[in-house]
Amino acid sequence: MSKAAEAPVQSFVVLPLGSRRIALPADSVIELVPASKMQSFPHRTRWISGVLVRRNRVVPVCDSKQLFGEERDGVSRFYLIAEWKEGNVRDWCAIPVSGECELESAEQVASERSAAGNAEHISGVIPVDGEKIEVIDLSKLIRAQKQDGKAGPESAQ
Amino acid sequence: MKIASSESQGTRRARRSEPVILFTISGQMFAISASAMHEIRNTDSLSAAVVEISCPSVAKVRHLLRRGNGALFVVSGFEHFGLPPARAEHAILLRYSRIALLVEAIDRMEGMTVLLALPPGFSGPERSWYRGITLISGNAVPVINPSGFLNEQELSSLDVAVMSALQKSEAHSPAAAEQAQ
Repeated sequence: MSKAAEAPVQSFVVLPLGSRRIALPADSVIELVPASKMQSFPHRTRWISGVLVRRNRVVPVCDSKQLFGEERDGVSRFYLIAEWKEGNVRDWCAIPVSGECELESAEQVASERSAAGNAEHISGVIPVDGEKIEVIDLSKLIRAQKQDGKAGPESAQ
Repeated sequence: MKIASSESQGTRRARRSEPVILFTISGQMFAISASAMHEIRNTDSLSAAVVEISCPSVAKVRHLLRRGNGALFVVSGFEHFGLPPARAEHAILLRYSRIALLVEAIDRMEGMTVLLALPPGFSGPERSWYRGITLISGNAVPVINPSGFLNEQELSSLDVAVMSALQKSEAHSPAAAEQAQ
């Protein structure tokens, strides 16, 4: 009889997002930067609210409500910059964060929401302080937004 | 000048600077390559050469600017970019194009030394609006793609509207009235 395989312990960055916390795999996080001036220009991509310029690179800032369904809780103190990919293309996304971010090592287990098939962007949950924190697959989430944007009506900036 | 590929670090220094004109629409700054521009005109000086056209499917174009044997479609920069309306002080007549762009104000000329690719996350019509983003005094300024204002379908619709407008205009001209008598 074989033993059930144990989930490996992985590192995650846990960040506050409105009324809840989410986790991102630590290897997808580029950096946490102090809130600087967000810039904007006309566009019609709904999940992007503006851009940051970091080391001569344009980094889209996500609209937390549009992307995660969470209103921002207070003034952003930081931007957490994470990487996402689509095919061979990799890009960065800045997530406005109003509180402290934590680095956690935990075993990721399957999420009920994800198993039910209504949240493909949730790759699992991790236990943190007795709470089940959803681990977000940012690439899947953004790709879904891009698909929705193509299917739906265009919205102004 | 090449646009940096999205797989790279997103930036490459241009070997030399490219002259660009900075202009504003509803306070938003844009850049356009000086080589893409034919002329900048004050809108007051254009009124005599303008013909009204109606093309509901291309609402951002309401006028035709007659120039010699040809004509240019006057595109409202405010409507094209979805910005709040303001008084258009200038029209930028584009080179090798059938477009005159209404803008709020011309700011200045600058040398563009860096052109950053529009991040792949942007997936709307802005992908055709801009060549990329340049940095002016630390600010991200979109660089206009001159061929991103009207697509082939819009140009065809406008051509039909122009024919109709010119026929109407000729029917009401003094020459037509004399002929009728």
